[in-house]
Amino acid sequence: MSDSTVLSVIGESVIALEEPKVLELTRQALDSGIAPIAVINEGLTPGMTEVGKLFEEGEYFLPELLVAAEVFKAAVEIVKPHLGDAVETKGKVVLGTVEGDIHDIGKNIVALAFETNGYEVVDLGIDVPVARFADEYIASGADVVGASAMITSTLPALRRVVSDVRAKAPHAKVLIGGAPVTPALVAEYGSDAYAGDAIEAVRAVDALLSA
Amino acid sequence: MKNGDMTSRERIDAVLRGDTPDRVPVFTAGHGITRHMLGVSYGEMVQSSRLMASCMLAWQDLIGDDRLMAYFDMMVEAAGFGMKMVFQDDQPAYSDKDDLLIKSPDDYFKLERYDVEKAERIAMTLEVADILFTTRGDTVPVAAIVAEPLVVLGLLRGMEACLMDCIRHPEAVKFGLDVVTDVVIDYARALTRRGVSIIVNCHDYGNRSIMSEKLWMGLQGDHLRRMNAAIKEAGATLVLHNCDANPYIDAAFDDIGYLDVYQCAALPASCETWADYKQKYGSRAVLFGEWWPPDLAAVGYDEVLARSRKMIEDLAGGGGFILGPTCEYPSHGPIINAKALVDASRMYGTYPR
Repeated sequence: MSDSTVLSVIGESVIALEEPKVLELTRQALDSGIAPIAVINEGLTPGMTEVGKLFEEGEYFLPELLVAAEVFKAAVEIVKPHLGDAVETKGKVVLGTVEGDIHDIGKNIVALAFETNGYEVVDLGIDVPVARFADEYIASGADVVGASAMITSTLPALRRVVSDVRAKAPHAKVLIGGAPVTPALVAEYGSDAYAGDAIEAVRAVDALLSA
Repeated sequence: MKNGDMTSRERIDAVLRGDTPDRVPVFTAGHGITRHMLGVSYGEMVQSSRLMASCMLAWQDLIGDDRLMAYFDMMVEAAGFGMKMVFQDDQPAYSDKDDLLIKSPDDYFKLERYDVEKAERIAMTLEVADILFTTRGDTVPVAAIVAEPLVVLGLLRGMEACLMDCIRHPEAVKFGLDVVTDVVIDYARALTRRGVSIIVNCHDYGNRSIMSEKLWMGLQGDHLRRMNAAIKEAGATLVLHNCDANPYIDAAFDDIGYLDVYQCAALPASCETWADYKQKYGSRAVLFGEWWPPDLAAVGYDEVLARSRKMIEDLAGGGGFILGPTCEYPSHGPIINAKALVDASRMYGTYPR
C-alpha cells in the first residue's frame, strides 16, 4: 500500500471503530517510515473529523463518539514518542463543571471532543469554585474557558463564573453549556458562545478563535 | 360534579378511564423541594423514610398535588447491587465514581439478582410507600419510579464506560440487563404490594442525545417489554418518562408498548405543534407535561398561569392530560409556582359536567 492509502485506511478504520486495526496500522505506518505527524494529521484526524460529522448528522451517537475518541487517543499514544517537538495544538481550553454541581459526564465528553480535535484541555473537574476558572485560565495561558452547569440550582454559579472571568480577563473567550443552559443565556450572562453538545462545542471554539 | 369535587384518586382514575374528570389533574413532580416543608436538608430527607414521607405529605397538603411519590432517587436499584452512594446536604445523592461496582466487562457476569425486600434503599422506599398509602392512599394515588435497566448498569459501570461497552461488549451488557430487569420487576411488584398504583419508568437512554434507536432497542427492547408487561400485570398504571428533547416515542408506543401515560421533555420531532402531538398520541395514552423545569424556576406566578392555560387549551381537550413539569420540579425553585400549576388547573382546566 502507498503511504496515502495506509493513512486513508487508518482514517476509515477510525470511522468504523476498529480499534485493533487502527492500532496495528498505526504501528505499521511508523515502522514503514511514514512521518509521525502525517499519521496524526492525514490518518487519524480526518477519521475523527468524519466521526464528528456523523455525530452532527445523527448517524453516530455518544457510544460511537466515545469509542472513536478512545481509539484515536490510543493511537496518538503510539505516535507520541516519535513526534519530537512537532506537536502543534489549535488552542488551550480550560474546562469544568461549576461549583455545587457534580455532573461530569457531559463535561468529560466535551473534553474528549476537544482533545481529539487538536486542542489541549485543562480539565478542572467538577464542583469547581467560581474563581478557579479565571485563575486557571490566566495561569495556564489558555485561549478559552468552558463552563458547564447541569442543574437549575447551579445556573447562578455559571453566571458568576462568566462575570469573574470577564472581570479578571476581559478578552477571554467564554463558552457555556449544560442541560438547563440555553442559547439565550449567552447574552444574559455575557458569555461568547453556547454549545448543546460536544461537537458543537468544538465548532464554537473553532469559530471563536478564528474570528 | 363541580370543579374540585373529585378526590385526586377519582380525578386520576377518570383520566385513565378516558373520561373527563372535574378538572385537569396536576402532578408537580416535587421531590427535592419538599425538604423545605420540614426545614430539613436534602441529605437528611433522603436518608429517612419517615422524614421523606412527612415532607411529601406536607407538600401535598400545601400544593394539592394529585399524586404522592414514594421515591428517594434513581439509584435505589443500583444501591441494592452494592453501589456506594455519597449523600450531600443540599443536592441529590450520587454514586461513588471512584469505587464502581463494574470495573471491567467481565464484571457484568458477576451481577446477581437480589432480594429487593432486604436491600436497604429499596426497603426504605417501600416503607415510604407504606406510610403514604396508609396515611392518604384512599384519596391520593401513590406513585413510584423504577429505573431503565441500562441506567442501572450505567450507574454501576460509569455511564461513559457503559455506553462504550454497548458497542464493544454487547453480550456482557445484555447479561447485566437480564439480571437488572429481574430486579426492577421484583421492585415494581413489591411497590404495588405496598399500595403504589402508578409506576413511572424513566427511559433516560432512549433518545437521540444518548444512543441510536437501533442500539437502544437492540440491547434493551425485550427487557423493557418484559418489564412493562410485569408492571401492568401487577395492576399498576405505567407512566413512561423521557427527559430528552428527542425521545424514541414511536418505539415506546409501538415496539415496547403497555404504557398508560406518556411524559416527554419537548415536542417530539414527528409533531409540528402540541395540538398535533395531542392528535397523534392523545388517543393512545394520557399525556403529561409540558413544563420545562428550568422555566418553572425562572418565571413568576402569573407567567405560570398563562403558559399553563395555553397547555391546557392545546392538550386537555376531552380529557387525557395531566399538567406538570417534564421532569422533577426544580429542587431550588419557587414553591409558589407549584401552587400556580394547581391554580391554573382550577381556573382554566375544568371540564363541563
